[in-house]
Amino acid sequence: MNTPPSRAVTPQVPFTVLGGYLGAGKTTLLNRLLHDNKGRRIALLINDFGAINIDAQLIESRTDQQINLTNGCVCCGLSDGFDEAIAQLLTSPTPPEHIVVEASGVADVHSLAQYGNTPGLTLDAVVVVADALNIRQKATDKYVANTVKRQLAAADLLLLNKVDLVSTSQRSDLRQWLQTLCNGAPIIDTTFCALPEALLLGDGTRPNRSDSAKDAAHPQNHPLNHGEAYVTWHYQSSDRLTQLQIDQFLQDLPNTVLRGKGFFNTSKGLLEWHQVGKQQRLTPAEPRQELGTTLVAIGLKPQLNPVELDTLASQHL
Amino acid sequence: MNRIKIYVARAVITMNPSNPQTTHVAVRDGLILGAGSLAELAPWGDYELDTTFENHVIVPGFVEAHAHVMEGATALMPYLGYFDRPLPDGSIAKGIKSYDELTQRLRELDAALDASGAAPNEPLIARGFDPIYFDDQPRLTLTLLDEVSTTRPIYLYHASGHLATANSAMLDLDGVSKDTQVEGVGRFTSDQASGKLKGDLNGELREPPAMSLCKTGNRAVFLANASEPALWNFGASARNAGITTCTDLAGGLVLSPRSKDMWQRVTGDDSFPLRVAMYNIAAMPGLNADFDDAAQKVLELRAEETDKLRFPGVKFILDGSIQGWTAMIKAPGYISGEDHGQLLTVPDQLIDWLRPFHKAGLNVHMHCNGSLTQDLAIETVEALLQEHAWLDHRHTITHAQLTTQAQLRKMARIGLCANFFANHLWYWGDQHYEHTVGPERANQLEPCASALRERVPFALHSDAGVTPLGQLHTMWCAVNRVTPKGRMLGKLEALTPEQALRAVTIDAAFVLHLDDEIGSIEAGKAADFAILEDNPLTVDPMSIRDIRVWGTVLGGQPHPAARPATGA
Repeated sequence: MNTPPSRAVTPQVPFTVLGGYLGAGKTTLLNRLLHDNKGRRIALLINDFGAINIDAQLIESRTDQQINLTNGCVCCGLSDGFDEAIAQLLTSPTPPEHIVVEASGVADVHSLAQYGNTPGLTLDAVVVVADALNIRQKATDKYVANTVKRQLAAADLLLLNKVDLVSTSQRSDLRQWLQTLCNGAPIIDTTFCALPEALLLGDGTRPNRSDSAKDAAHPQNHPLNHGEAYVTWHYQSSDRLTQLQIDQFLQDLPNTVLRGKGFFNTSKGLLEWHQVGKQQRLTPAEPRQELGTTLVAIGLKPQLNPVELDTLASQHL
Repeated sequence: MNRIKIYVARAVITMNPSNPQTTHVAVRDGLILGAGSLAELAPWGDYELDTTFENHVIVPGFVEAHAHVMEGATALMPYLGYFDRPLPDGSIAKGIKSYDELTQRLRELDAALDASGAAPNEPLIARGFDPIYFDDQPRLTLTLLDEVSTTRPIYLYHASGHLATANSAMLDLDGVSKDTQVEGVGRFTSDQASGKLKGDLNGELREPPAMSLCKTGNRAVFLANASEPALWNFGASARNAGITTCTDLAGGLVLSPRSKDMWQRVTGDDSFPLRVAMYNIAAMPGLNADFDDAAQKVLELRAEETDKLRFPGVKFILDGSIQGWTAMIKAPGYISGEDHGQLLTVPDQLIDWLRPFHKAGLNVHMHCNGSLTQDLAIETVEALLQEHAWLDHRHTITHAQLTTQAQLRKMARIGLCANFFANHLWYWGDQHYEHTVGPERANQLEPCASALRERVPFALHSDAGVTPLGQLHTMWCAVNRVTPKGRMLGKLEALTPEQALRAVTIDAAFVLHLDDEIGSIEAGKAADFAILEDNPLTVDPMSIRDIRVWGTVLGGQPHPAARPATGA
């Protein structure tokens, strides 16, 4: 893996692209994010402004292209274009903690994701939703086959939605078929796009915040660990690692790890690790003497087995 | 009531099949009283005989059914395109045929900025460059631009709108560095003679996410496109080319009504020499919107129409471009290069998107460069007609470049019109023959003669500012079908000059639902004329584009061209 040289440290807002063909469940997922939010300032850039259902009691204020919610969320329309919507959010007095863009049903999500690397933003993940009932048919459709296949290939995380509407054997066939199309991205079965927000957007903490080391060192304090449908794995060590050790560890990481973050301690300083599904990124971090290698990974229960990761870590790190 | 004016001309070509050619036309209060001999017009009463055009040929004012006000922004910045380009002041910007010419021109522009007292770091932003014409040479990089200046930021916005090339000073100004991780930021792939290392920025920025990094250049282009000077230039360039009605085929007044006052004020000015038929886009391409509301907004705009600012319908964009490999084309696809077919509409939703406009009696023009999206447009309109029988909808597939014979037969049966991008035959004909669709389909590009045979009404267009405004040039393309490398693409699809003239006058008015008001010279229609120095129906067909345009008459008012310009 290439490690690009250090970038200027500016606040970077995580940026998630939510893609998938018409009817897959993107709007359901957005509505869920909006209503379940507990105070995080999440900005949603909405393709179909009219399709979002917002409980009137939740609305704090609204303009033609923006709705502010009492729970911290802000929904933005895109009629002034994408650049403009992002620029407005980043320059607002209360910039968002996370930006989620709902791509159009035919959008090239890989291209859209490139905005996540522009100044002020950091690409978190491309999340693609597929409709278990019709994804196969759409992938051979006269008009949308290539578009849909391109979306699947660009997914860091793939949500196979409406799995309750297909049989178990159909589901397993589908998963096998999708695996090649999505280049090994983790495939998560969902119904009504139900997925913990921590898996979709992360837990909102950034690993270079001062409290993150404490959280990692004392996982019992971590809000992630309270009887959720997912499991968290922690690792900490003060050993200095070589690039080869890190590369091998990351290469062997099972794709049941849906999100990972932390720091690797190397002789050249700390490397920050960010992973969502098949997207893996290592970037040089500001020196912090108190931190050794600190890793956190989360995945669904029971697919993610912490013992397996312990073994992997002892093998490579 | 004003006095009648009777113009006498060498010929008045009317495009009225019952009275195709005559010598005089009588005008009162902006309307045509009649076309005929002086004796036939004299019974209208007291008149003034105007001999200004006695040595000219009067044809109906040209109607351009697919252009953009962005054309007017071309002249607000230096032009560095490959082909000569007419400017609103009547001058011609010379095309740039080599990198030496490019650097020389940039040096002149840099020196001119210095001489004007501009700061040494005042950006130099130019447009029109297109690497497709330099494909036998190394790709343009910042190395060449840095030779022009290492201090003045330079930004070349390419003709396609999908690319830009910046020099090092411009990248520095906007904070684009080697560490920028956006895909589409071009990099050197190996050690170059210039001493650049693999991975160093090469200055090229591809597609909007990367282009947006260069905020200075990008914003300047964006602001120019929507500016008031651009609209005035648009009017001037149209007039210079003999155009009296021109579309702005991706109008922004539905999405951002802020500029409505500017449009009303400028088009309402007596000296503004053009009728504009604005087709708004109702949503950013590919995105959903409240289309019921958008249809309502168009109807509200229509309620404020003037005779120089019309709102006949809306525009939808279904795919990309052939020369960008982003048009969605049917099997067997592109002959070389990778298919990046870009769907800019949601097929399952298109009928829902179009329905509110169709039901409101608003004409829909659908951009399909590729034959696959054209199938979608045809199927969708057929389904709409089964729901709501608007027999005279005149919905139009615009560009329609790769229209197949089967599509023409189908279009004729459901009343769909075509608007062919005839200028492509000249500007990209060789590229289509060699690189995109190959000889057979390049020879059938813009199948005008087939459309005539199959009775599909059609117009011809320039898509200005993609190519320059100039209906004589556009006619010339459809008649001669020649390319810069000397090919003739598909002589069986060539039009006669008379057929081509119809397609840039009365038939172009037809696809805009304006053919009862403009597009021909007959009693009761607007007195809109193009005044030509020669007869496009009798000159050598290869000279049609060289005919000089005196100017126009718009609603009875003469508007001389900035100076005699050619149609090229």
